This record gives sequence, C-alpha cells and structure tokens, in this order.
Amino acid sequence: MKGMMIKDFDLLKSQKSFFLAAGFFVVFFLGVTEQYQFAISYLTIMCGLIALVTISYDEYDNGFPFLFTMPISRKEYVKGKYVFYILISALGWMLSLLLGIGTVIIRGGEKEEIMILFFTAAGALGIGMLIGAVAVPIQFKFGSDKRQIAIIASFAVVFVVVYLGEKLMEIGGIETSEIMISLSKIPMGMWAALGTAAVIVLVLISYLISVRIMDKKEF
Amino acid sequence: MLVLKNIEKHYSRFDLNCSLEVQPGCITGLIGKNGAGKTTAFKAALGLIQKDGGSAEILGKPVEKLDVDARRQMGVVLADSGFSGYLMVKDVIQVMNSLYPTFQKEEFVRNCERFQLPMDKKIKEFSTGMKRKLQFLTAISHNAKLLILDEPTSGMDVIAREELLDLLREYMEYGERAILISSHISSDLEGLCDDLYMIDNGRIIMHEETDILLGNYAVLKVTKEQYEKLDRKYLLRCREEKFGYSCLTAQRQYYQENYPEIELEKGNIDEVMTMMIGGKMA
Repeated sequence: MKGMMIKDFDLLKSQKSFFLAAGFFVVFFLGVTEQYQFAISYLTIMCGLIALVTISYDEYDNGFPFLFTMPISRKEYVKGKYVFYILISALGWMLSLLLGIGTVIIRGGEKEEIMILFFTAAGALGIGMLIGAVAVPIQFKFGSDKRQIAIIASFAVVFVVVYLGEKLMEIGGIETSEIMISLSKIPMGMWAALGTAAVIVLVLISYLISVRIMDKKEF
Repeated sequence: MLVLKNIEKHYSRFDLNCSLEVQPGCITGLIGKNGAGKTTAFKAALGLIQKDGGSAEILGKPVEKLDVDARRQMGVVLADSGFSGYLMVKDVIQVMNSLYPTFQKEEFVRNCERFQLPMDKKIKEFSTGMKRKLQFLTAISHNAKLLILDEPTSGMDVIAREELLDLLREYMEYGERAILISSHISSDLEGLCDDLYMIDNGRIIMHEETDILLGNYAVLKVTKEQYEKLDRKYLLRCREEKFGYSCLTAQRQYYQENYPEIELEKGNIDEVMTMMIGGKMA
C-alpha cells in the first residue's frame, strides 16, 4: 500500500493550483466574511473530492491493467484509496479548523464560537466521509466518464426516497415535526456518537462494495 | 514458469481457447495477426480478465492466488496500458523503489538516460515509443524471474528496438529466467525466441522451436501438374496460386532430396504464419 500512497501523493502534485485556489478562497472567506462554517466545510469536502481524482488518474489512458500486474492486490488498492481519501479529508479538515480557530482568536471571539466551529468542522468531516462513501464505489463501478451522471443519479435517488418517506408518513398520520421534536431531546454527545458510528458503518459498507466491484472488474 | 491449460474466454464475437507453456531459461514468442487473441491471452495469464475455463499458473501458482512475492518476480509490459500519464519518471522511480525491494535504481536511471527518457516530464507528454521504452525498462528493472511482454517494441524505431532486444538477451544471461513475448514484427521474434506459438482466432495453431521452424520448414512452389504427383504426406497447408500451389512443409529436406526440380523457399515466420492462417489442409 505504501507504494500506491507514494504514487497518489505524486499524482496530487498535479493539483497544486487547486490547493492554492482553495487555500486563498478559505482565507478570503475567513478574513473578509464571517462564514466560518462554509469555509471549513468547503475545504474538508473539496480535499476529499480531490483525493478521488487520483482514481481517475490511475484509470487515465487505460492504466488499471498495468497497475494490477504490480505487487498489489485489488483489495489492497481499494483499501489504499479509502485510507487516502480519509487522510486527505482529515488534513483539509485540520487545516480549515486551525485557520478558523486562528481567525476567531484574532477577532477576539468567544469560547462558544470555537465550540460551534469545532462542531461544524466535525459535521463537515462526516458529510465529506458520506460523500466519499457514495462516490468511491461509483467511481470504481462507472469510471471517470460516467461518474458524474451516476453521482447525480444516486443523490436523486436519495432525494426521492426521503420525499416518498415523508409523504408516506403524512399518509400514515405521522407528524414529522413531532419526530423532530423528540429527536431534538437527544443530548448532543449522543448525537455525535450516533453520527460517528453511522459514518463508520457506511464507510465500511462502501469499502466492502468497492472491493466486490473491483474483484469482479475485468481489464 | 508460465502454463496456460485450455484457457477459455468467451466474448460475443470472439472466443479464446488456448494452451501454452513457457519453460525456465527460454524465450517464448506469441505471434499472430491483429485481433488474433494475443492480448486476451496475456490478460488471461495475468488474471486481468475472468476466465471461463481452464487454468493459468505463474511461477507454480494459480494466477488467482498470486501473492505479492510472486508478483514481485514478474515484469510486465502491456500493449495498451502503463503508468498514469500524470506521473513523471522520477515519480515512477519512487513507486518502484517502494514496491520492489530488488529495484535497481542506478541501472534504471542509467537506462533512462541511455534511451533519452526525461526525468521530469509528464508521461502523457511522451511519444508512444518513449512510453513503451519506459514500460520496458521498468519491467527489467527489478530482477524479475519472468517477463511477460505484450508488443514491447511497438512504436519504436529500428535502432531502439535492436537495443532493447539486446537488453533482453543480456537479461537472460543471469539466473534461471524466462520471457513470454508477443510482437507483430516477426524479425524481432525470429532472432530472439527459443520457441514460438502462433495464435489465430483465439486458438494456438502452431507451436514450434524457432530453430526447427527456420531450419526444417519450407514453402514449396509447385505447378498443378507437380502438385498432382507430389507426396502430400508431409504437407501442412496448401494455398492455390496463379502458378499452381504454395505448400507448407516441416520436412524441407525430404522434398529437397526427392523433388529437386521443385522451387523451394526456406521457412520464415511471416511465410509460415501466412500459410498456417490462409492455407488449407493438404
């Protein structure tokens, strides 16, 4: 996996301009506006997505067949991609969090502001992981060409399912607002634990699906 | 070193069904026209496609169970695939260094300089020949026991081709190694291979030692009258021509001695392949 990681970091060097632009964008948002939450979420999620680009680069010019003649199993390759995705997302998250905390301190903000920042950042990392959990298997299954269509389609499916669920609850006489009120009574710590557990489970399921896709793939 | 036993792969318009073996210490060639099944056979041997039947073994292990150590003992060039175009040669060195404990960095760098491969240029900006040279040099850079080379010299000029073939000959001088190589340039294989497999339409139509093919095979050029009187026992294929028939035999001496009046051309890969594919059974 080490060799593949080295390759992925080498590939990311092609994205220098993205990192510069993203850094500038975040500093601008933190410095000029007070949109800390947006800036933090943006950097975390975008870093994850840019890590996905390395799969496209591996695939570029029919690169997969050669890659899988090297001393790395398909399972190890998939594992490497998930580790890399998490690593790059976490780096983006830490960087944006540090920048955010720095800005709050410079502006003389309250402790609560830093707490909100921290929770926002944690939420952004969770969303980033969920996006990865959907996008990585789609990338493996459909490749770069059809990826965008597949991602849009999968989010459309999620939207339709949520919409239909809400409608069904309406028909069944279940009030969504009541559910929301009872959910809001769950303590914050419990939410964090449940959210983390859900993200871990979904990422694991996504990983297993990706391994299966790559195992069956023909080059 | 490599054994394919009745390996099968079925597509809607193409079926592969072939067996071949690469012996230790030997360079084995696989030759066939475009679309004959060479690349599919290579991919089946490497486990890149799911086979529909038969078995493939590399270095004594089923290809499905090839572990990291076994893979480290293989060097591969594929006709249509290589390192990502977004990498540079200096990145490839780092990757190879961490994937192959036996990677010979200095020699690799020397070879890259010799073949004028720049270290800090993206591979996607390389010409086809340069890409192929890089793949080739990478394959021979880590003391692999077995080289599997699909069209390794395509896109190269004559001089580079000769230099790389010399590197292969040199490569075979050390230890018990073996090479499976395909090429559509028959002269590359004639001067290099110990034995040759011919593939057509997904099937091996001939397997012969190169020395025997070049020494014992011949094409007889006969008129219709000569053909009628000819002993056809040792004819492999015949093809109708304007002057009569061309007939392929593996018993050149027999016909030379018994039919001295017949025009006879010594066998070469192109001629033998043309006859094996285009000719009919005698």
